[in-house]
Amino acid sequence: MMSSLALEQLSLTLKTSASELQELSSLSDAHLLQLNSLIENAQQTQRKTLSDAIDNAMSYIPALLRIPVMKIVRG
Amino acid sequence: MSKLDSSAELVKLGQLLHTPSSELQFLEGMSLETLIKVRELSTDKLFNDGSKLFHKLAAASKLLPLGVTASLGEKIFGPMLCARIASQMPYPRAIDLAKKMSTPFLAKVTLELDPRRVKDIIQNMPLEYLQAVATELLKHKHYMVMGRLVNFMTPSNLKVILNSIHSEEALLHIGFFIEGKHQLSDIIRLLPKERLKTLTGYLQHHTELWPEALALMVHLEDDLKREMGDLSADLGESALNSLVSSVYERQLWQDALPLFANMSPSSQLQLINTSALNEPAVLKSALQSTDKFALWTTLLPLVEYMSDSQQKVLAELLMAERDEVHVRFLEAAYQHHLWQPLFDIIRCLSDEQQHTISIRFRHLADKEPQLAARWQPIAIERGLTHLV
Repeated sequence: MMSSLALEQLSLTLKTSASELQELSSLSDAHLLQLNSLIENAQQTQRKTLSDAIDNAMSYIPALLRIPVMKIVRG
Repeated sequence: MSKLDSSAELVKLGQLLHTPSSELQFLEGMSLETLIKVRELSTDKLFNDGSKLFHKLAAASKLLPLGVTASLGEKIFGPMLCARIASQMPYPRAIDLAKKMSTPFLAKVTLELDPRRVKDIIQNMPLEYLQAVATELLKHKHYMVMGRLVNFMTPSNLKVILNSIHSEEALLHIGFFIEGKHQLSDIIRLLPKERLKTLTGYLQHHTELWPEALALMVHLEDDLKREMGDLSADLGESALNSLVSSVYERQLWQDALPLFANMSPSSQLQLINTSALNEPAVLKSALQSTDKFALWTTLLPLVEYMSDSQQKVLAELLMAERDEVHVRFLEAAYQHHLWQPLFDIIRCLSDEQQHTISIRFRHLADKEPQLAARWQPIAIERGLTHLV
């Protein structure tokens, strides 16, 4: 991957423009991709932790309230 | 750019991404602004992820009595989910819920917060709860989180909390991670004068904390910088040696030299004449960083405090550097009229080296003819009239 593509990928992950991250263009592709992976992995870990917490929580909500709460949560 | 600030920033980014900062070493050469930008964008990405769901959960929590919600939060949701939901709640409700939770749990929630998103909660939380959480965070040495909270506390609450921290080590570590370093002077002024003395005195036997202390000192206003620098000098030569060694080993000259320049003349004299700063390797390292970070105007005024032998070593080290370094050295002396230290160094050079330099002198005098008259008394004093 060309450096500009790796930077483009990172800027997409961080929801910004590549020009905002211009200084990072001096990094190698490998380092840009490593940073990108670390951010994406942190997001996956967070999603798993939060999803487990929500699933766990639902099972503790009293039956009477579970449906309205689920409606609010799931839309 | 402060190397220490960048290092603190990498630790913060590492904590956010659940990775040791040593794995982020490839980012070390980036400017502090870029590192902050990467961390803030990463924080936004993580904290905005699922924000609609957290908003709904915050809304759903209204269906349950406060006590039940708090209990569910603590026993079932866990700290991360509670932290995300809290940032989507009106702050009075978040505070009411927090009051019903245990202190150890609230401390864990604090670890998962983005303080920017919950500043209303931090600013309106009753002091007793803030103090309890701070004590719990201190117990577990969560200094970085405390450092990130400092800027969001009201000055009156912050003063009480800072003064209740009795560990000098904790204060130094928290200071290392404080964001908005421009506020550091105001924060330090919240501490009693005696505490500054205790804090500095602690370094005498805990020299491994000099980088944290430097990280704090470099951001202080000049009067406080001088005060803390002078307090450090009061600790005596062994403490100053450990400060210089720490700066040398970690290559912190760009942070340390401006601090040294702010010390009072008597402290500068003490510092410059420490055995550590008489080591040629240390002096060479200081010299190279001076050139690399354009700190000539900071280093040159310190030359007058150097002994003859130290000036000679410095002169030899300087001449061993590349030609372009000599040019920058002369240019800085020229731009800032630092003629005395310049002549002090030239006095130590060999006849041949002096001749080489004199050619450059003449170029300067050609540009500005009145310089020769200004140089005359300085040159006479040093027996260098043949140069001017």
